[in-house]
Amino acid sequence: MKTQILPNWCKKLGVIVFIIFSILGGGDDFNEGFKSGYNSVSPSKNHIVSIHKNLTTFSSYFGENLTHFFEILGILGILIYMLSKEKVEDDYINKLRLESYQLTAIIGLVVSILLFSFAKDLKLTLDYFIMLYLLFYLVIFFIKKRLY
Amino acid sequence: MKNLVKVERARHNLTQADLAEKLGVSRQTIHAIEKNKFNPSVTLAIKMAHFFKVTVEYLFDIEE
Repeated sequence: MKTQILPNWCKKLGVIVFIIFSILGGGDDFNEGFKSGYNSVSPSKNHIVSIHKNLTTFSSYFGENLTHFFEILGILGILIYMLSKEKVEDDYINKLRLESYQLTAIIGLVVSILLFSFAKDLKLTLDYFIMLYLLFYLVIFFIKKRLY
Repeated sequence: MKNLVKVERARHNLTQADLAEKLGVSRQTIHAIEKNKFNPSVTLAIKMAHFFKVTVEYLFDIEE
């Protein structure tokens, strides 16, 4: 079954969409990681949080719903990249792609099982799993292609 | 399966990329075939044999 339904130029489109909307959608969380650090709730760090209190964030500017929509568009950008054809499509590239899908599925399952084993009550949002799958697939496929 | 793709390619003084372009496949495919990591489809094997002006049996053979 041919899953690569989009032409090669869609790869560039996918990357551009991913970069733009990932910054808009995930910029706040990225920024928060630097500002708050690990112990953001500890009382001793309160003075650090207060310095940044008045900064404008993407979610305060665009609103929560639009920011969430940007995150979805970022994910769709990677999906467009994944579903785009290579410059030259042949049997070997298809084989590598299938192997990458297979390996990604196995890694995804192993990671999920390990998370479940060690942290039974861990609550993660779906985007973690979506990104894990998409990014692992892209990295594995890239490595397999570059290996030769 | 052993093959003489590398030998024939050298005889024709072609790089992997040149051969790949002439056959309409990726360079990785030629590399994988030469390293015996990938068995080409019948279509590609015949295309290669035609290109090198040899028989498929000469180019590809089963290892004893």
